[in-house]
Amino acid sequence: MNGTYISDQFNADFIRQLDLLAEQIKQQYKINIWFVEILNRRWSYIAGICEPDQLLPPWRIELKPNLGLVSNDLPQLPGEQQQNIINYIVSFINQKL
Amino acid sequence: MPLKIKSPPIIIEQQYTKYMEKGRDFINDDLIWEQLKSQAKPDPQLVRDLIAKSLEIETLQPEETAALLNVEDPQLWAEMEEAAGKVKKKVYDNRIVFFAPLYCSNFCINNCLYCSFRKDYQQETRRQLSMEEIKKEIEVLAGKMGHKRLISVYGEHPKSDARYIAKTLETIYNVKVPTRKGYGEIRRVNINAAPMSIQDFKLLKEVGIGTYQVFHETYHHQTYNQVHPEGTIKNNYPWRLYTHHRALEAGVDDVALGVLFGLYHWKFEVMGLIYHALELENKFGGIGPHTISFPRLQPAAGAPLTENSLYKVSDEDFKKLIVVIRLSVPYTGMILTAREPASIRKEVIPLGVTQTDASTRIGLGAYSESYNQQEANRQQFMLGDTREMDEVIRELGEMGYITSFCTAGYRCGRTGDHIMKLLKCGKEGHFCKINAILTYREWLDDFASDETREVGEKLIVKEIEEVKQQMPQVYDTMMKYYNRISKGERDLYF
Repeated sequence: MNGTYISDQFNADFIRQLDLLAEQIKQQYKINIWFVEILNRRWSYIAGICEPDQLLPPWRIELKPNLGLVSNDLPQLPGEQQQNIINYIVSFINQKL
Repeated sequence: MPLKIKSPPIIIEQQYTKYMEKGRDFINDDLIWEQLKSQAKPDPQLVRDLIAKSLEIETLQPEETAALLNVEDPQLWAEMEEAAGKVKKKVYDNRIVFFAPLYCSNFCINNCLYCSFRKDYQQETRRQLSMEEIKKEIEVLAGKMGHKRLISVYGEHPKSDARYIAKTLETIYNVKVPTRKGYGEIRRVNINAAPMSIQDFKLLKEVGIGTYQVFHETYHHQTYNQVHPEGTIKNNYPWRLYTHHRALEAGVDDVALGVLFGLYHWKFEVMGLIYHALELENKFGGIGPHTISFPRLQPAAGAPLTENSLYKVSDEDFKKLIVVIRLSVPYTGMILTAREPASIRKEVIPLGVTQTDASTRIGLGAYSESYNQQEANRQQFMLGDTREMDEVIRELGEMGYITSFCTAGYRCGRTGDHIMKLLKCGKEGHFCKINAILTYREWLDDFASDETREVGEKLIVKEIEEVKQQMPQVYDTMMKYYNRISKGERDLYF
């Protein structure tokens, strides 16, 4: 047991790929994003970089009814860049799920 | 008519034996006493080094906790008390989070000698709230008092199994009540319920459980078996001890520990809590207890042990145990409840308490049925402080503490080992401060009396000024949120 979040809805391979995706986005755009499993009010971390560098409100996006994206600094990027990132993530998710 | 039990809760041995080493659990009674004896007269320099370690937000090791427990020098205790307050401020700032207990069912198949819900106590009025009754309770809790966070409590019984608990959670989360300027709702439901299987925990996870809380009551094996009579499910020590492991294994990554102080020697129990916290940290990648509770035995109808126990904890020792827990597990939340009388609550809050309750009713249906007198046969135990929330919040404000109704973390992935990391590095404390201001604004506008509002307005100005000075980069964004809340928007958070 290594502290990695355990999910019945998403397998370990998918979670690992989300981790890699968050790393890739961090390198390219210098922002932290993390993915959560949506369980009613609870948004439980499953993958990504949940280390808010800046004290900003969390930006929450529902990617699927059970999968969310959170970031504190994504909204700091120009609008077009934000949209590109979200589109990329959505298409990545659709491809994998 | 005796209640017909169709399917009693089941103990699944392999769900705890797999964590045990050579068939033994992680509480070694003899070792704990040896450690306490070996540190009987701790060197003052060692104590000061441990204080420094704690101020670095590092968990202490059991022998280190043993040293702190044995300090006798009043000067050193004063230093420890001061450090406990500093640790709390560093991790959580000066906010105190409020919650309310909601008793949903007091049917119980156990027979614990300290509890009014025990099955042999026939005078207890047994009841289980229907979903409609729960809705009515929430309308009061969220709509009239202003609570945002609950701890829902259930006796151990087939009637209140995981499916019932899950249904209550869904019901609670669905209630929204208009208030003076906005609306009230419960944003986080924590659960205090008997140990359960991994499968049952998964069910609770699906409906959005906040924290799963269960107290081990006493870590001392022999005492545990005496106060939880043979033939009851609660008599199984490891099934209960490893329930947090099962919750974490099921993906419920916020779990809470506690002891009922007064069943056995308080120093031993503190050591048990530290061992438990370290066990979780070691087995689950750094996820320690989200909170630790330290209730003291209180009088309970039909439970003579509550009057006769040899191990009742004095007020002086109560303060000491809070300080040592605070210093030993610096990142954890610490819950002080209305079991304690107002005077004690006021004294111990500065020692590192992070959460408390007020306007507390622990009878079934007691919020909506509006009875103010405590009724021994309707409660699990007797409360020490029945003051209304408005009065307690005012008192805290006068002491310089801001009441927080923050429930942000678990709604944006700051859970499990991630919240732990943020707590340990002090980042979460910044979020705590801002979210306290925002939720305090909500509460002052929606629920405060004129007298409390007067105190609150002064405090909130001071808090906002501190953010401006200490975190200037966030000030403008916070004020935008603050102003939107002042205009009636709700549930904006960092």
